[in-house]
Amino acid sequence: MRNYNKGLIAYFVQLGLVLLLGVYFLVMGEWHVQSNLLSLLPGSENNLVLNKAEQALFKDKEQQVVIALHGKQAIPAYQAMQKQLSALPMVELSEFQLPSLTEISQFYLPYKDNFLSERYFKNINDSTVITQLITSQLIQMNNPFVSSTIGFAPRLNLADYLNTELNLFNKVEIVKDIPSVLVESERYFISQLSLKVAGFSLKESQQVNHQVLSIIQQVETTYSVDTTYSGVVFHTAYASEQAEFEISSFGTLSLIGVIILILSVFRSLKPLLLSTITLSIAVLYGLTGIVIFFEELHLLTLVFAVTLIGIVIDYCFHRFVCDENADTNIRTKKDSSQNKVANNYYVKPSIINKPLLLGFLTTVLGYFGLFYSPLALLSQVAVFMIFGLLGGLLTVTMLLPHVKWLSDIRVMPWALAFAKKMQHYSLLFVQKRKAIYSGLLVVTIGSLLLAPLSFNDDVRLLNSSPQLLLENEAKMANLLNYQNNQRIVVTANTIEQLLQRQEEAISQLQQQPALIIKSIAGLLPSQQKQKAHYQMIKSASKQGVFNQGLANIGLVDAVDEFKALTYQDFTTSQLNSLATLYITKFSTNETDVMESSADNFTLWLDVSGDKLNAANLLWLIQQSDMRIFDKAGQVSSSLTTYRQNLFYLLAAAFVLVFLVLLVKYGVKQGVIGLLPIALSAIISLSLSQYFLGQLSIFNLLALLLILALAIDYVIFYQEHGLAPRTCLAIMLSAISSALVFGMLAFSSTPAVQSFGLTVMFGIIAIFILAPLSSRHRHSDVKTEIPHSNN
Amino acid sequence: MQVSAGFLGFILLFIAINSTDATAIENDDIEKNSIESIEIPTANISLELLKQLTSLPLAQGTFEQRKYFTILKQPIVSTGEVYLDQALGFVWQTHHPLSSVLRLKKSVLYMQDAVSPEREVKGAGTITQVLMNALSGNVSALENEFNFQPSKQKACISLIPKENLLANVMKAIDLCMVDNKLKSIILFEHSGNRTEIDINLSALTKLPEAISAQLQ
Repeated sequence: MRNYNKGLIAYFVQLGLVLLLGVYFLVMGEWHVQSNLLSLLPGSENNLVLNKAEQALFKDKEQQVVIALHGKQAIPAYQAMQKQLSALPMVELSEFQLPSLTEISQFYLPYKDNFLSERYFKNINDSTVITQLITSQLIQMNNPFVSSTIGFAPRLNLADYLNTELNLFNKVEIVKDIPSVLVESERYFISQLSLKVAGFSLKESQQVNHQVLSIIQQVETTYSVDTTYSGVVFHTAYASEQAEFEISSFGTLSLIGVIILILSVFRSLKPLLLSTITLSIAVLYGLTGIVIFFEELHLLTLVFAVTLIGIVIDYCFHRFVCDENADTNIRTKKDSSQNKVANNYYVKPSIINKPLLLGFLTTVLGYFGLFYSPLALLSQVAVFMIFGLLGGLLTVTMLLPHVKWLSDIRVMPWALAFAKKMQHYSLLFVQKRKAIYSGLLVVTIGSLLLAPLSFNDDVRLLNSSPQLLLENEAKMANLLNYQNNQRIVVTANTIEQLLQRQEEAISQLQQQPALIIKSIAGLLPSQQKQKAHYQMIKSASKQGVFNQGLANIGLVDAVDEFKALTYQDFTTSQLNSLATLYITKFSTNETDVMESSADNFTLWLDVSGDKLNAANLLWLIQQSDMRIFDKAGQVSSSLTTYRQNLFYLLAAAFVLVFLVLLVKYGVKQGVIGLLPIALSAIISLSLSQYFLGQLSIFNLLALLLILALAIDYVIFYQEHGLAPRTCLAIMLSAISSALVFGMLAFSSTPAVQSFGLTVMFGIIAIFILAPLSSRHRHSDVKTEIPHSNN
Repeated sequence: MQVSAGFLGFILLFIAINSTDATAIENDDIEKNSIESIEIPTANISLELLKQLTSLPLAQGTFEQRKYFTILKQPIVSTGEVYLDQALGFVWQTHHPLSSVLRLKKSVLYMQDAVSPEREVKGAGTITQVLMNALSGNVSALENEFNFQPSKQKACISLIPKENLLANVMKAIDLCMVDNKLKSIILFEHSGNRTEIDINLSALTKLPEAISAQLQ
């Protein structure tokens, strides 16, 4: 019968429990993956309602593509393109049934006295002006609104109203049955597609992107036409292809680099395999923590939590290098039966367990602060990291010592010789520690004064789309006239309340005369407004305001009983397409996805012509049921919030680390230990700013990794001094981290590049500076230098 | 990424109804059938007649417009002046019974009347451009938009719109000539309403400064 080590049994028991716990929460909880950054923002109930409203109004826009064709052969080119596009399985050509003016006029007939254009409204008591308004419409060469309404509404209030309201939207003309726009005397034919691409299917996005672009290019070549195209899918496909390329190229290079490193130092791939196992267990622990404490995992949590890899790899290298039994005699064969374990190896407490534990506790203390962050994302990162690090630590300290392979891992002599050289130069540095620290402090403070760290959280700066796509977007915005527009979202519990609130908003916005407001308010006014206009017409009619105008044409126009145009009437008419474009129902309940059970209404209105002035912006901010739809702005704003919180929490983590170092190593060593950490952070940020021009949250994110690695490095140097094996383990950790993360500095994706560059600078800085924190006294240095030279 | 506004902006514009897109008429098919039944020689004769129309790249004149609504017993009469420059556009100034101005500039139509300041009339560029081509005798441009056939009225040619954009707005346009000069334009709407415009145009070498400035 085999004897099993109690520690090993305990390890597997706790591993099993953790995994069971994870599976239990995963299966029993309503657990899901979240990708919407805005959903993680701390916010009021109003924000939640508005977020839901925006989602309901604009949920389909990411599936849309618009293509404009221009040139002499544009019409046959358009027809050929449509034919090819319609053959694609994931493409649906958008078609609209446009109601005719006669149909529109007929629809408004029962409500003819409920509508006053601004001109009629302002002059409703002035018989002369009203007569002029009637006459001026009658003499227009071709006014189809007059022709279609004069028979039942000869006051022409309805003709003027519809003409004004519909003229607001008018830009698209149908030529040869094709929608088109005329811009600077040039005609552009517009095709609109809806893509049936499943949520996160990047492969499908890429596929449909290639198909659509191929058709566009073919049409361009065959018919010599210019094309302009716009759609999220083009950007998504480019970004995902770029990411795939970078993952495969950087990933391969990193992997080759790490393999070469490990083979060179250990002449074995076993460390790589053991590290992979340890990392996998650490990630499982992290995910278990998430499913225990949260009902959702945000994808961004994983992005932040990539730091786990760097730290756990660091733990592994310390295990492989510092615990080599040939050197330290930690593992010795013993005959004593009571000390025999399954693999016949007796495992002594490792010399690295203490610094590993200390490093773990310090890092966990830092992350613990994040747990109480008001931002769910940072809380998730904290839980993931704390659990992940625990899993990594337990595996490195409890499992790896029992793995037989570990005993086979030998550090190559050249590596040890190199480590001794490193030790030698580090000792020389330590001799001049004061001078180096003083010099660095002066340089760092000086550079901070000359070029203070400045952050820019504008999410648009993180856009990595190629110039061609951006130019296409800008041109399409110009063609369809939405280059400077803003959308305002309004919410309410009832449709009447919604329409009234919209009218209040428009009334406020109209105080800025340059604004052009497009909305459904004109075609579907609130019943309150309809009633008011009806009363005005009725009263004016009684006073004889319309008499002269009507007498001129020999017609009479009686004011009928009031009948309100309702939302229900509107949605059951041929104008329903406009209703569904502007207004939708939504539910604030997470699980309620059916529109039929939705309990809230929302609509949007389009504002262009000028930027909203301060008064309008202030007014909108004060409205709890309205918001300017600005996703980029909201994301930027949320990034600012995250960055500020991350900054404070990093500062708190520095203080905690300092306290731990003070308590553990005293004031002097505490300060000496903290300085490399702080200096590395500042140097990496300053250099990143110098090369990037500005900093973002992704640079701060890199500090999380640098801080965690720096704590480990400093604690190992504090505990073991400048021992060659400590130097070697730290060197391996630094090189592998630089290979895995630092390589990201060459990414063409701005966010990834920012992260990679700061990590690269940070790792170089902490690798050089951390030895300065070692506990060597001058006398030790003097005695060790000649020795190390031998 | 700026994509976001794109689709919604487009839909908004697209669904929004064009004032010139206007009236869908049940008679369309009948009209189209009658167009198709026109014998080619007749169309050619009409085209040849129209080609005799004097081209007026720069012109000035007066007009009298009579709008006949089926519901009204009397036409609505208005008079005024017109200035045109085939390269720039035209100014259509009504003086009686009310002052108003229609200005076509770079394919965009602007309108001003006694009550309201000048405003852009969106989507009306095409129909107004047709009027401009008729006034200036730009037959080749008209040929792109219309089929030609003899009118019931003497010395007139009927222009039948080829495309829905125009066909939705009008049933036909009659151009009537005297001595190869355009004398009147009659716009027939599907509803039975019609607009008759008697026009007296003279060629110019240069537009008045004030008018020219309005078209720049």
